[in-house]
Amino acid sequence: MKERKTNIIILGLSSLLILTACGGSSAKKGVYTYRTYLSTKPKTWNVHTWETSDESYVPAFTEIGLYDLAFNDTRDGYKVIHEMAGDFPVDVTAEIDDEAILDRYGYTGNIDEGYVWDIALNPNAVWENGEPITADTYVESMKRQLDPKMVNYRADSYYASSLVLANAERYFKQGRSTIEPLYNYIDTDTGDYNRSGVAENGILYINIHAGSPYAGSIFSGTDGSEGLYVVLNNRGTTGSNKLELAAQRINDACQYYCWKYASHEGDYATDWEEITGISKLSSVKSEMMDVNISLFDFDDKEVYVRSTKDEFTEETKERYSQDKLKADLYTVVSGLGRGGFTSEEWSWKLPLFATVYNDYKEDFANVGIAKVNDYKIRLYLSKPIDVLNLEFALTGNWIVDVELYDKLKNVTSTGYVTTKYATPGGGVKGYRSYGPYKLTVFESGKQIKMTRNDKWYGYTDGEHVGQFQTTDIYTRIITDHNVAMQEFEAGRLDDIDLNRADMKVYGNSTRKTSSYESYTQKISFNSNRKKLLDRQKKLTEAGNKTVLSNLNFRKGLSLAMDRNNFASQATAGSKAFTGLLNDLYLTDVTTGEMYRNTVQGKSVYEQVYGKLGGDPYASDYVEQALAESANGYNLAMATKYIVDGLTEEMNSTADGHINKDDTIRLEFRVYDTESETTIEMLNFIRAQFNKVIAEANKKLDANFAITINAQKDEDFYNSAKSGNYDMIFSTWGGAATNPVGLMEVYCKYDFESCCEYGFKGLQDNVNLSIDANGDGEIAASETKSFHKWWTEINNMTEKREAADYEEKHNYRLNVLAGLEAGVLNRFEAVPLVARATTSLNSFKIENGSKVYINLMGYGGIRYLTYNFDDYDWNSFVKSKDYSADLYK
Amino acid sequence: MRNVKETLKYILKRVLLMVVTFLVIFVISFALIRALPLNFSGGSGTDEMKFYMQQVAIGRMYEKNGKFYENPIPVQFFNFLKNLFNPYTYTDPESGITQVASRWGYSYKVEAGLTADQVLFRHLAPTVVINIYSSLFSVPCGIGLGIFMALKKNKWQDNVLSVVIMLFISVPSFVDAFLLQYLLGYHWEILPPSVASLTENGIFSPVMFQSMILPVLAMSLGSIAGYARYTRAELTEVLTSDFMLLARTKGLRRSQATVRHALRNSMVPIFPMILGEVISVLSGSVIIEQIFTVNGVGGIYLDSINSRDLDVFQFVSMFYILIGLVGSLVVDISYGIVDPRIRMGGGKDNA
Repeated sequence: MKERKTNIIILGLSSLLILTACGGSSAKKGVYTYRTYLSTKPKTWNVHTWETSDESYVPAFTEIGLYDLAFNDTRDGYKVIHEMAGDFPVDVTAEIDDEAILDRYGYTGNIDEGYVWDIALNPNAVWENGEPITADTYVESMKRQLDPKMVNYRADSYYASSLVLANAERYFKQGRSTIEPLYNYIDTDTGDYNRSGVAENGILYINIHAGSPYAGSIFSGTDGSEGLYVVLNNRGTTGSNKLELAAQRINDACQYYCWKYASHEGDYATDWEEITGISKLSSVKSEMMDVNISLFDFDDKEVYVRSTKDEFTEETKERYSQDKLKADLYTVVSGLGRGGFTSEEWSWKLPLFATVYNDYKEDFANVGIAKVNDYKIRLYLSKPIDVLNLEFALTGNWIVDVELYDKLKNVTSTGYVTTKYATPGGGVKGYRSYGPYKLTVFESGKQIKMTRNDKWYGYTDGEHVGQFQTTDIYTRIITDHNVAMQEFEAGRLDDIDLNRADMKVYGNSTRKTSSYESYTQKISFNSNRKKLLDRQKKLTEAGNKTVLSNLNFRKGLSLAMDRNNFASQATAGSKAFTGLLNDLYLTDVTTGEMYRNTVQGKSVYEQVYGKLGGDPYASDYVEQALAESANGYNLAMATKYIVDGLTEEMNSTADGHINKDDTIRLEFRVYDTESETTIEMLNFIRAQFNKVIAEANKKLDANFAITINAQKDEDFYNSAKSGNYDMIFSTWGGAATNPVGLMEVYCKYDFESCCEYGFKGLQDNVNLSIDANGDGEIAASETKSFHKWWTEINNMTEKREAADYEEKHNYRLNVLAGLEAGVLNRFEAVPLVARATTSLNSFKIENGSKVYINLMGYGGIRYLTYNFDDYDWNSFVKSKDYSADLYK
Repeated sequence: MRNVKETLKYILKRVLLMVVTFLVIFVISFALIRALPLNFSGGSGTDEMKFYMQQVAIGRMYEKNGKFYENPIPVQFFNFLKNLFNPYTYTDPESGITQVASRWGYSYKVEAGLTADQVLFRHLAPTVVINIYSSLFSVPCGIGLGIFMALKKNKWQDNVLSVVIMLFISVPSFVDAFLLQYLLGYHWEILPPSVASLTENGIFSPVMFQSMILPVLAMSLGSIAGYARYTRAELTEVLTSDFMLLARTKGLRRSQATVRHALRNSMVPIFPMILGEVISVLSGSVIIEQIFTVNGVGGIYLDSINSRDLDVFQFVSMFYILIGLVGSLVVDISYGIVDPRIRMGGGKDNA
């Protein structure tokens, strides 16, 4: 009996060992497999719909743009090369004189350059199955990209970016209903609406806050975001009494309506609580009136306005009506200007809005992309673009195998059409590659395999010698970092992203590389005293929050943070930084001029902190140069500002001001309070703040304390937008080639996602003086609101060939630096680090560059080379010579 | 005969009740899932308008006066029912192909373009196979261990095993999983640390079997401990019963008495546990799947709720609710089969 049991056990163990022995190594000589991983699960790789960076992962290997970036000859910069394009773009705008064409694409004025471009296609480009890629592929693919039934996520890349294809937006939006400024649809001859959809609907709205082209016709230098409110309140003092009164009455009507009848939920709920009667209506801000009010409502509902100029009281109020509104609008529009139109009969309609049912049928033939011949396409743009920006815009691609794409379409119950093309649902068979690699396996949530696409022209055209040495790419989905690290240490991955804990082990490795991101991580403080007071009143234990509204106090907190230590202790490779725009931003893409290296970029540190160094209380205090400017840390100065801030607040008579010995209780809203990184970061900040408060206590002989309570809030950005926070981490960045564009986040008054609540919506009211022309003096014209400065430089176009290029470029740089310093000097946005990710490369691979090059990184897969092929690497890993300690 | 009739009546009643329960749960879950906030997260690099336009396209929101509002839940429910019984049809102008919309909706995120049922069934195989292996391993091991401990009650073997079992019950399965993966997968390199590719190897290949050993072990350790503890407790009680003494005095050997009388009696509470285990083979363990990169249902379930892929989430939820309801019915019925003394459908008049 016992013998039988023993036999069974032996049999079982033998089977296990036999099975275990299965699956030996398949590494081959001469094969170079790049083995990497993704920590997230890409849910699609369709270029028309991708949303997150992991979803653009596959196309980065299997597709390629019309143009691409490559190292320059000295490998210290980049150059633009043509890939799927056969040549560089040719501007043919001047050649377009066919009336029908001009009319089709809406070219009404003089157009001389930048609107129409010919792109020659690479005749050798084929799909992975060898079928040719022609001009038809590009045109038909764009038709699907912009298909109104598909609502493709990336459709706006061709109408809401620097590349604006004529009629693309109109084609994409057909069949949907939107509220549009009526201004765009008024017939200049008849004064009627020239769109059937508008006329049929017949409902007109007034929205005093929403951006209207009408404002642009009154003021120069606007960006289209200004609404009627701006016109009514910034019309100067030249208006007649009648006009003044009319403007005030329109304002009154909207304020009264919004007060009485609109929803007060949302961001401005507490502001609305303060509006208790007509006398308080003047406190209603523009953004509180972002409501589309039907003109019929002025007849149907009781709405009151003033009857006497400058006086709106219960005694002077008058019942309003649609007709009265029309009359007032007529007075204002006639008095101020009609945007170039002449008919006074309908000019009152200019600032209004109408529901536009996009029930028109826009033919795709009118969209600005056309086939010239089999290997040439022509792009008709609504907005001019220079050649370099066009090439940058076309480093992405939109082509798909349309036959397969259509075959894999699905439709939902609401008529929404999707396709399984380039999705896990369609699988590898539902996709065609055309880049250097072709997709062979896509196992959702598990692995992605790609191999060399032998049909790719680049392997035989002689233009890519020494590039794309990688033969296979094996990407595994490993969501758990510890597993990924163990795989890397076992030699089964060629790179690994390091986290904060890993940095302690591998921080000094020679195989470590840091990739910088154009994102700055900062603390956003709530500086709005009223909001802070509301929050203070809700505290369950005694404490103060209003002190955060004090500029000196916030500056002190900023100076109290040793960013170098923060970066090394609480991040994985990020760099201490005190600016908003980090080292990656380019102010001239042609020359590669980096904003941070310009005189203007460098001047920002000094504009914000002056020259830090030394103890301001010491008798021999001398301001020393701020060598460690990017660190922004000086405890002595921090103490000084904290002391100043606390003193000001203690002496204040405002409700809820801080008293000696109070505890400052701040709530830090974070996505995940349990995250190790967050805990480490918060502990660091707590320690630094405690230190500076302790120092301030010594100076003030007080007993202040500060607590930072981490509050989990997965929606913390929205909380910040509505002022329900004390402080958050906010991270902002944008295209490295467009630093001015990013400043929208800080300077545009109606930018929705502004995280600095104390400044939100005030950007058009707060003025800033900038020596824009660089003559060392501030002229009267050099004091403008943040919004105006930003609008001005955002709308500026500089042509390198132009004689005044240098002058304009410097002006733009001066303003950009002035704006950056202006925002930083408010200490609502307090930068901590320039974000970076750090990774460790295996000894198997080598990057194309030892240093990080803007826009190129380390060269990517194009320049990746190998020290071992798969076979040799496997042998090395199995040998006694290999150990993970080699990386330390 | 009367018993059979009563049993059938009872089963019919339970099935009807199950249908009603399912529908009630369905309505409640439909409403609750759609009551989840649909807030745009608003982080950097995101586009609010794109998000809303997509929500309008999939019928979750509607647009009025340039603003976006969520469709009321009753409207969404009505639309769902409408499509369930009369699916939308569409002819593509480009290809001329006429399509009928899926009755159960589509995934628009986790596996975009697939129908909700396709998403579930694509991921069911690895989950089911791992669970089957785990059940086949843990049930006999656990019961065997429990019998051994009961027979060695209060001896050193029982004491040592009790401590080990308490350890496995107390330690969460993901800790076992990490340890097993580290020791057997990376440190000693005896077994593959993660599950092999299903598409490349097939579900029943040796490579797949070998790579499943670690997750199966990780999932089984807790179950083995649970079965062993229950079996030991039940069997210990039965072994000390008077009828066991009677069986022994009638001349049965200890093993005969244990197997024929004690074991069967002790199985009454354990057998439904095994049935529950069999039914639960369809469910996935999110954490185990994540550690061993199993491309199973657990991960897809979590992804669908995180990305608000409501059709998928709802279909998977309802699938498991149905499994749960059927499971509880089968377990209840099984009591009568395991122990004929337990009668079903016994109302007051039958008492």
